[in-house]
Amino acid sequence: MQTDDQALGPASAPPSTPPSTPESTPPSASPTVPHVPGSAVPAEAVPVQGRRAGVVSRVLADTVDALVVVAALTAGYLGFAAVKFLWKSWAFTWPTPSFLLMLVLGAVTAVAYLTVTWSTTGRSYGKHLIGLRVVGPFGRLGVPGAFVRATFCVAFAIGIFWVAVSRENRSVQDVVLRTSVIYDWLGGHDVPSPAERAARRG
Amino acid sequence: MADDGQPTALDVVDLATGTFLATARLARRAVEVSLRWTPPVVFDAGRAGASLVTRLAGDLPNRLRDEGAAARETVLASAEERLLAAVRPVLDLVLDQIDLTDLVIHRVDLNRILDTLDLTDLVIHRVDLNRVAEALDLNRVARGLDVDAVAARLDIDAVINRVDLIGLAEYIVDGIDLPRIIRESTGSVASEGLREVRTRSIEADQALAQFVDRLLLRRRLSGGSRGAGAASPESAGLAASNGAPGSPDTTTDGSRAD
Repeated sequence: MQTDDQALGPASAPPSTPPSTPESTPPSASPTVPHVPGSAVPAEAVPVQGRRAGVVSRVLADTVDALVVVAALTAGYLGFAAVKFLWKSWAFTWPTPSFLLMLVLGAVTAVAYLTVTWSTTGRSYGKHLIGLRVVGPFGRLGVPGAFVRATFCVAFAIGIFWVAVSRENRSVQDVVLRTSVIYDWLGGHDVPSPAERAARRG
Repeated sequence: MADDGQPTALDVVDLATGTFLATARLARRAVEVSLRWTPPVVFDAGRAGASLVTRLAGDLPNRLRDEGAAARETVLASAEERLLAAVRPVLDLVLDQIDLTDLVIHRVDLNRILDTLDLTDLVIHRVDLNRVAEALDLNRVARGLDVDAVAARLDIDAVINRVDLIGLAEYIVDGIDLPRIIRESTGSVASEGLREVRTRSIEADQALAQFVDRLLLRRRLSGGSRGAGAASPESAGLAASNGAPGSPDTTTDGSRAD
C-alpha cells in the first residue's frame, strides 16, 4: 500500500482550521513567513517554505496517511461486522475478506481520500502533520489532476523513492505529471514565492 | 357709684353728660318761647341771616375735622418719639440687670426646641459645607487616625461570612473562558511537538540529500542543498492561488529537471 505521497483513510480536517498547527497561522502582511507565537515557523525552517520536500518528510507523511487508511479500513471492517451481527446474531462469524479484496478496498479508499484532500486543501492528514502540500503546475490540483496523481501514486507507490535520487526532489509521479510536494507549514498562507526567495538569497 | 361710696371716673362722665343734656333742653325751651313771641318781620330777618351764615360757613365742620386730625397725628408722633426715647434707656437698664444666658440655660427647655428642629435639613440647606471642608485640615485629621487600631477592630471573619464566596467563585469562573485556555495550552503543546517533528524531518531530508549527492558525485545545487528543498515553480502557483505574492511564471533556481 505504499504510495508516493500516499495517504489512505478518511480526510482530515482542513489544515487551515485546527488552531494547534502552524498551518492555521493567519496570513500576514509580511513578505516573509511570520513568526506567530504558538504556531510560528522557526527561523531555520523559513527558507525552505515553498521548496520541494525531501524523501524523509514525504515518507513520514505517507506513513501517517497509510495508518489513517488502515484505521479507516479497520473501522469499516468493524462496522460491517457489527451490521452483520445485528442482522444475524445467531449465526455471527467474523468476516474473512480475501487479501485481494482488502487490497482493492484499500486502494479505492486511498485514491478517493487523496483525490478529495489534494483537490481541496492540497494536503492529506499526513502532509498536514508534516507540513507539506501537493501543488500542480498552476497551483492547487483540480479534481482530475488529483485523481490521476492519486491513482498513479497508489498503483506505483515505489516511485516516491525517486525523490532521493532526483536533484529536484521529485518523485516519478511528479516528473510525469509535473506536480510537486513542497514544504508549507502555514497551509499555503504567506509561503514565500521563488522570486522572494531568490531576492533574499541576493 | 362704687360699693365703698366713692365716685368713679365713669360716674363723673355720666354726671357731665346729664348736665349737658339738661342744659340743652333748657336752651331749646328758651329758644322756642322766644320764637313764639317774636314778630314775623324779625323772624323773616332771622331766617335770612341764618341762611347767609349757613352759606358762608357750610364747610366749617370739615375744616375743623381736618385741623383736629392733623393736631392729633402731631401729638401722637411726638408722644411716640418721646416714649421710645424714654423706653430704650429703661430697657438697657433692665437688660443690664438680667443674665439672659443664664436665664435661657435654666429657664428654657432646649430639648423641646431641638425636638421641633430638623437639624440635618438645617445643616444641608443653611450651612456652606464647601467652606467648612476647605477650612478643615484633613491631613492633620488623617495623621491623628490610628488605622492599625481600626483594622484591629475589624471583624474580617464576619465580613467573609457575609460574602457569597461560592457565588463569587462561580462568577469568576464563568468569566474565564476555560475551554479556550485549555484549547490553547494543548494546541501549543501539540504545535511544539509538530514543529519538532517537522524540523527533524527537514534536517533528515537535507542529510539524506547530501549523502546521495556525495554518493553520486554530484555538485550541490545553487542556493543551498537540494535536501533543503528544491525550489518549485509550482509553489509559485500555490502562492498565487492562496493570495500570497509570487507568480507562476517565476522559475526555479536553475536546477536541472529530471
